[in-house]
Amino acid sequence: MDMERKIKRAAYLLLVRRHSYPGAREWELEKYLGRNYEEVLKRLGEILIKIGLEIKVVNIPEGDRILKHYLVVPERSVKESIGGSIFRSDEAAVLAIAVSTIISSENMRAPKGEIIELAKTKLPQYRVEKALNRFIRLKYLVEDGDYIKLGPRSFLELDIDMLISQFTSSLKGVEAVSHGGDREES
Amino acid sequence: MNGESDVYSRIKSLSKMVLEGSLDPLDIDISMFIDLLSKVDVDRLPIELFMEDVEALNGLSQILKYQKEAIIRYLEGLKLDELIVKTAILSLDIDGLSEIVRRIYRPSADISTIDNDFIVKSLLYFKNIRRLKREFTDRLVEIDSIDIPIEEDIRKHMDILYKRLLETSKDEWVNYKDILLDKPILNSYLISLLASEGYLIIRVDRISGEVYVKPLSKKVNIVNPVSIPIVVDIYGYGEED
Repeated sequence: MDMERKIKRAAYLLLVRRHSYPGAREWELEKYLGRNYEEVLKRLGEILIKIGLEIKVVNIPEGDRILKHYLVVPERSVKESIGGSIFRSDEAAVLAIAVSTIISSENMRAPKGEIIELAKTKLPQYRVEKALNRFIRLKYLVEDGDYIKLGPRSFLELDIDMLISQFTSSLKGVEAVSHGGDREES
Repeated sequence: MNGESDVYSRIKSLSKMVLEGSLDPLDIDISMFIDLLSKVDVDRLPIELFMEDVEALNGLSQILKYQKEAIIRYLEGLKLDELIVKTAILSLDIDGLSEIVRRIYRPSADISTIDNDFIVKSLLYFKNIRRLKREFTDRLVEIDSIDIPIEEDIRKHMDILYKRLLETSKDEWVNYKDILLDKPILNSYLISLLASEGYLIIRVDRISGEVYVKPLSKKVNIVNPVSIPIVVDIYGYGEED
């Protein structure tokens, strides 16, 4: 199969929704594009960047395995220039508290009670619980007994590395610099 | 002349130490050396020093490369400290916390498609929902009546409804509810398709909230059609499980 056809296939695999999750997993790309799928993705990436999109690789832990997941996301500068958020402010605050508490905890899971206690310093308990349940339903968070872990959507849609720099810089009072080196617009 | 030579030697020596791993690349003030090298008038340098200048530049680029790698290693190993999190949460207000989520949120770009196969699967899915079977028996009969392949049949159904509307409306506005009749799901779907294709127009009475439909004797080209979509969430993470 020639490269041009492989690029078209790669675009289909990454852009057209075929599963419950966006994008494609490593094994799918290998199956449909061959072993040199990374080269194909590189070429597709060169095309996508011209229209403000880029390919993102995410490692999602599943059991004791790490699944490599590829998806297309808007370039950060484009997303920043449009702005907007899909969450209400209070819900987003609860998500920020939950995700940051989880990633700072041992084994990447935090007691649900601890998250609620922290969030209660900002919002009434019933709103915290309502928001948490919503994020669990939307698969941003996953319940694991009395603990809460990150769900697949958090790995796919949230830039966890950037969260670290955002929290650190919020304390230092300096402008955050993203992991990729792009300076964030404030 | 000696000053330049010393700088070149110093840079080469430092790059060698970094390469050997005996010196942390982040301990080197690279900007100072860049300043020193940029002040050298290379056009006037004798050939031996010119060669040393090139080697020194190469050494600096090596140090820069190792500095970059060291920074990436540092960031990868960085874990959000529990104390930092708690302090930050307590110090930030709701807007500050939601701003962080807004910044780190990057939605995926994808295209949702719907085809015959998918519609058939959706119909089968809905027909097999127990609660739906129990509570909406009459609607299920209607869904059963939608034969497949849908794409071919839908055109036929559109023609039938359009002709019926033309005959009954007599160029007047007809209440949307009166058209739905015995097959509300199918008919509302067909109306949305007829409107999208320019065979009829839809008007909403803002005061009463009633919706009116008027068939057009001649198809018009609608630039920005407003359709009534039947949306099926195939994201899989949907709220309605």
